[in-house]
Amino acid sequence: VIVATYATFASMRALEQLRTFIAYPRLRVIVAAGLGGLSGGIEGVAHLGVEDLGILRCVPGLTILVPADAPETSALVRGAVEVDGPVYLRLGRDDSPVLFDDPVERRIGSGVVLARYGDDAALLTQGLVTAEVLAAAAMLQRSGLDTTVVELPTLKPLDAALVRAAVAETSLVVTVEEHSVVGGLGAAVADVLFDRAIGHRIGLPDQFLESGSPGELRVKFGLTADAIAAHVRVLHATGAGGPRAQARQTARR
Amino acid sequence: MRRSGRVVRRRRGWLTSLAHHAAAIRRDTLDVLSAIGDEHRGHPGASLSIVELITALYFDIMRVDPARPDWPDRDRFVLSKGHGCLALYVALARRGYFDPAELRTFRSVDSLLQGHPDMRRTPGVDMTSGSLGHGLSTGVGLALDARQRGSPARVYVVLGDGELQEGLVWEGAMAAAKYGLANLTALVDVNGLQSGGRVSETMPIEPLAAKWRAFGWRVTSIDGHDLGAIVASAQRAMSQSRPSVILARTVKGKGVAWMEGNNRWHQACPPRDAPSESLATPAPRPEPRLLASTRAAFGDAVLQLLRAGRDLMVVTSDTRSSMGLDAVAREFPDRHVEVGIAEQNLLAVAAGLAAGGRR
Repeated sequence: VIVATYATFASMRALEQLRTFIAYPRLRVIVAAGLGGLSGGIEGVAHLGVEDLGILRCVPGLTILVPADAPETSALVRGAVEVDGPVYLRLGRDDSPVLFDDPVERRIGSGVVLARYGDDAALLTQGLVTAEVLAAAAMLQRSGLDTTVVELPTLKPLDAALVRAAVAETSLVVTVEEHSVVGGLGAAVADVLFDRAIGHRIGLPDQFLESGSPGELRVKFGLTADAIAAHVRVLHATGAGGPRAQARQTARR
Repeated sequence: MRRSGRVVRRRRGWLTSLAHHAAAIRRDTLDVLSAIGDEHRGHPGASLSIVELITALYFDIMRVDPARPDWPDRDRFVLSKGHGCLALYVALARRGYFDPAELRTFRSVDSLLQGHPDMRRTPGVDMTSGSLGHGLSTGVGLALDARQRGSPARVYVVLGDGELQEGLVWEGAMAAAKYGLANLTALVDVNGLQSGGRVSETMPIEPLAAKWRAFGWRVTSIDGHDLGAIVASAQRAMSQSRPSVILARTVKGKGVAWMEGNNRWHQACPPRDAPSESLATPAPRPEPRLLASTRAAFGDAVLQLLRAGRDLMVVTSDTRSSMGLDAVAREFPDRHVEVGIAEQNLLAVAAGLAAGGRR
């Protein structure tokens, strides 16, 4: 089943229907959302879909696709109908630059390296702003700064391996997205890089939970004092705080 | 006449004067729509059908003071069909809320005049709106606030007819009746058209008068371009003990021969110095080779999947045309469901369709 509406309405007005009645029962519904990002800009805030991805990234089991141009949109629609669960497809409005030759191959869940000028910086991007990022990378190269451009058309599940690989090869990671800096691609990349490198998050898993008393659920999901203390003990012992934590431990010895 | 504690005295020729304001507002609305160009295109049809409603409200019915836009006892206006806001902005400028020179910045960056009404940015705008279906509920809140403060302020809400497909409208209608909000008047711009076509085909809303009556409202039906009728029905609403709705029959694109009733002008840029009688559809601009719309690509991809025999259902919420699905609806009518402007219904219907085991 494919439904068509706009990004603000799909992600906010009908959020509960999407979360509780489509994502929770893992139904195969593709929510196509036009006017994503700045594409509905002339309409003003009511129609500016710039928080949609952050809101929807919290919904367990929802695949989120953000194509960069028309041929990639076609490829992702073909891929989306094979996904065994709900999909959010963020679209634009008017004409935008065509970046890829039709037909283009895209695997859902995989990112692609679009340009590899060098390892001075990694530019991670997605969506319609990808055209600008590619142009920026070319400008930077002409001025002697060689970057790698990584496109992540699947925001969720994010291609964490590609993100880690891109980060490993460079000292500067920059995310560029047509979305609020809260909750979108930058936040998703930060999520990948935070755990083990900087710290660790204890909270509820990215999945639908179940009925239970708050106490029972705290026990089941590790939010009791005992569980938190045990968890922190293990993280500390294994140096999960990343290089900073390890350096401090070394100094203390 | 004395209504609900308000004395209304009219000067001779008031109706002629109102008609003069309406004509000027219509002319200025068209001028701005032409001037801002296709990049900033507004909603001509929806703006022109409410010109008389807005004129009657701001130049006769409503008690407002442009010098004191924050006066606590002023009457309040909510344009629930926020996409028609240019007519409102033109009226506000004409009443002196801001410099008419601002009008040509409509929809441009840094403008006072947002694509949909913004109460914090535009002097004279009482309530933010733009996502359809919310205005009646915010109007209920404004009316409850006035009552609680003991203020004589009255609240006017203009809704579109297609907008009535949003369920929230009826939640607001129930609340207004429950609280007997005599200080609340809704005006429905019944132009019979919405973004994707006829209201009656997209999602029928009739019998409209019976619906409102059943929800506890006093109902009046008028010609929405008859300034005298608008003023008279709004005056009568003031003496009621419950909320009133005025069903104003209008013509989308009213006043421009080649726009009237033609939905091509739902959202578009009218040509400059266009002839007022008839106009052939402007030739499409040549398409640059390396540009394409992702939502059009989406519609094409869905069409190809259906042609390839994929078992799909496609559900739209007055988005068939705007999301590139016209060909899908035409070629596979039994695969297309149109729920009207009702996004919660859209997703819940889709859930049910998918729960049936469909891919």
